[in-house]
Amino acid sequence: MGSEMFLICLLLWILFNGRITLEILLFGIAVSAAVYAVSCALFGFSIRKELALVGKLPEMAMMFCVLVREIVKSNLAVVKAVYSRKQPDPHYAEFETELNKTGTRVALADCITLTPGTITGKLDGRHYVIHCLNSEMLDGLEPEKRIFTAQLIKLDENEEATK
Amino acid sequence: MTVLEWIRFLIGAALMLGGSFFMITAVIGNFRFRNAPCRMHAAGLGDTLGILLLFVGLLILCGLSVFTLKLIIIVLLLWMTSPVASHMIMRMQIENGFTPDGRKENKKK
Repeated sequence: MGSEMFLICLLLWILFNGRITLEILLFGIAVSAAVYAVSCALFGFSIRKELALVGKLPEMAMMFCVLVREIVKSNLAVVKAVYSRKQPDPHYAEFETELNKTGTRVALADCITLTPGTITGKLDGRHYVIHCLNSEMLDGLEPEKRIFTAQLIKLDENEEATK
Repeated sequence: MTVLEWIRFLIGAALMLGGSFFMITAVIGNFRFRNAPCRMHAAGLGDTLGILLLFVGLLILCGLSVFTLKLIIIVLLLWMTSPVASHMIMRMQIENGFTPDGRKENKKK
């Protein structure tokens, strides 16, 4: 138990090499063990956090699907803006989030930036400043934020339940 | 080529064509938009859906192998790192008092 990160590192090592020989395997074991030891010693990595992450996999998969759907929608809106005759009229939008954890706030900022048309410019506590490509993106920001926030709250709830 | 192979080829090719369309649109957007912040949004087309469609197309054409697993990892790494770069550039713009269209704000005394 608790060696998931070590195994993931070893699998990545083998995957990047593309084949398994005794030499690759031995080097992989040594490097993965070193990465695992450094993570535990320097970055506060713990077995409990690792298990909590595994428990969140279904929610994370759902979050990924929602993210891809939003990316497709916003890509189509930006394509429309690229091929329209008018130059875009960019705006800054500001809002406060109800998310409590720093990690989920950063995840929300990342999701907003990953959808073209909106880029997170500033995240200060609960306060976000977003750069929107045009007024259409500005109007779409609120529902987008609500969808991502709902998914992130679900992720948080699951984490609380596994503790 | 069997019918199934043809279907696989057509789906893969269609996805790759779609990805190429978003990549080309990103380049056109970079030339069409007049200021840097808007160009970042255009560049985001290639970084997100462009690369996803291209890689999913390749995944379907090549089948599941070590190569396709590497492609999935590349997409995930790109999606994790690209927002950080965009965020840093936009943060510098906001903190240095630039307007949304990339002009320097004139502060009245």
